Amino acid sequence: MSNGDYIYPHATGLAAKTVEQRQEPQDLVFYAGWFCPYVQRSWIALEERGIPYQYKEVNPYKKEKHFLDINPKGLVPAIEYKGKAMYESLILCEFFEDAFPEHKPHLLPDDPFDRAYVRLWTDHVAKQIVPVFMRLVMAQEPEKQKEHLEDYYKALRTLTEKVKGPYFLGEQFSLVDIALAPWIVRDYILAENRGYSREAAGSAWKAYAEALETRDSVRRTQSDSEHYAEIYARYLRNEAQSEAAKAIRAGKPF
Amino acid sequence: MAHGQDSGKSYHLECTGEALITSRAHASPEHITLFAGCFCPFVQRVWVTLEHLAIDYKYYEVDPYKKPAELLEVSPKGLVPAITLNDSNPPRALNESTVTIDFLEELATSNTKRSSHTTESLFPPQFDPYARALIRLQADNVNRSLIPAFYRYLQAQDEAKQVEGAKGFADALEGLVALFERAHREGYTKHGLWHDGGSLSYADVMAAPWLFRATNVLKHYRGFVLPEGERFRAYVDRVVNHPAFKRTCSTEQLYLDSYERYAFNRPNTSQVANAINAGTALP
Repeated sequence: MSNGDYIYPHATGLAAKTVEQRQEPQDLVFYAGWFCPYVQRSWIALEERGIPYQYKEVNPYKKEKHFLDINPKGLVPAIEYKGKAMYESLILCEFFEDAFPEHKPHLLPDDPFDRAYVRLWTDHVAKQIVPVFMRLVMAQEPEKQKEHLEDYYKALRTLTEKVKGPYFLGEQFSLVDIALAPWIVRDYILAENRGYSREAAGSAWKAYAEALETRDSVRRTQSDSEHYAEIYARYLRNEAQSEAAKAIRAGKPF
Repeated sequence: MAHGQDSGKSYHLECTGEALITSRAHASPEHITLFAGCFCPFVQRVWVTLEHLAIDYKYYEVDPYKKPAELLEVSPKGLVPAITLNDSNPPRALNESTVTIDFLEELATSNTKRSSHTTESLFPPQFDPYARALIRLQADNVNRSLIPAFYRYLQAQDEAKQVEGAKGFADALEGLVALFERAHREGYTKHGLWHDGGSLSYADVMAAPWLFRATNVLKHYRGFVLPEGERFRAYVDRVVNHPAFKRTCSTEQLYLDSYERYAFNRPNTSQVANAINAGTALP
């Protein structure tokens, strides 16, 4: 393992405090990588809803046997609930809705059409925003960077048109916000390296981004930024080896 | 290998066969309108859902590539399927087939707008969240792996890429089967046609149109043969012959004609085809 593969081994900052509070054995075990934005989605959901869980850090280079036994693909985020494993960040969020109906708030509204509306815009985040963020980070040529930045702004503006404020649905924090938040708190990487600014996407976007990053559940799952830098340096050089990075390079959906 | 030459056939604008009968039986105004394309697999899975859950709807054929104003009004990217809910003025609209199927399922299980007394559901009940998550995982696998692999295979032009595409599609099928087998091992056999006596599931509906097109379009244009294995072949058989699915199928020629443009990767065939060529996420 070269120096380039080093990842700081555990959460820091406010996230470290949250991790510490979640060490008691529970029915629900949450397998996480403190640095992973997909993990953060499901983590935010757990924290929002006050669902009891035990946090377990997964070292991507040294996955534990039990974890791989129940979850052969070894992906995070993953959960173990009453001995059964599940993964995929948004599927986990839907699972939490189904399995813990008594815990409030819910992340989806009650009415079927309103739920569809939330899922539609969650889908927009997953398909139009997140992959473009990743492509923008990993792009090496200035022409490509410019192209992806324009695509990124376009996708953000499309979403912002629908934002009621402070959150997507208005007062109610929902799955759309959760799907997006981890990339908001990482957008300083784009600002520092790819010429992005929140202002350029519009004042409504800036206000929405600030509302998301100051949400308590988002702050509680954030580590200190210095430790993210080592990881994102690899993405910025297009040398990252995560599943997402590999898929982007291969020109495949992920 | 590539089948012959591009004969310049175009996509059809009207269903044939059983699908025609079904579309004509659903020609009157209803609470829900389905904006459809007769050859489109994304439309088909919403259509199957409407049929299976016995929800009243009007089938409304549009030419999705002409992007008529009435389609753009209800579907921002001009994609089919889209549905409108006609009980409000203006009607509310939904697009994205996966979101629409989720909606129809939730509508049905809240016991409204069904034409007959049926308790069909594409999902295990709410008191079994893990079983539901497993079905979602299977569906996610279809959308993430199987569907892109289908198009990569069909759109590949040179022989090396076609061989690669064939392998990619076969691998994707294996991945889906692995998730079906996992459900089976863990005792979740009530939902999913993979299991003996299992009912049509959300995941089956997600996969069905492409499994069906594998048996005709991929077979014709790529010489594709279903992987060996009695279990797998029996599954595909159950899927394509499921009554709700069959009612939405046109005759083989419609699909062969409509997919020729994919098979020869004609420029700008569709947003899906463009995304595959560019290596980006499907719209």
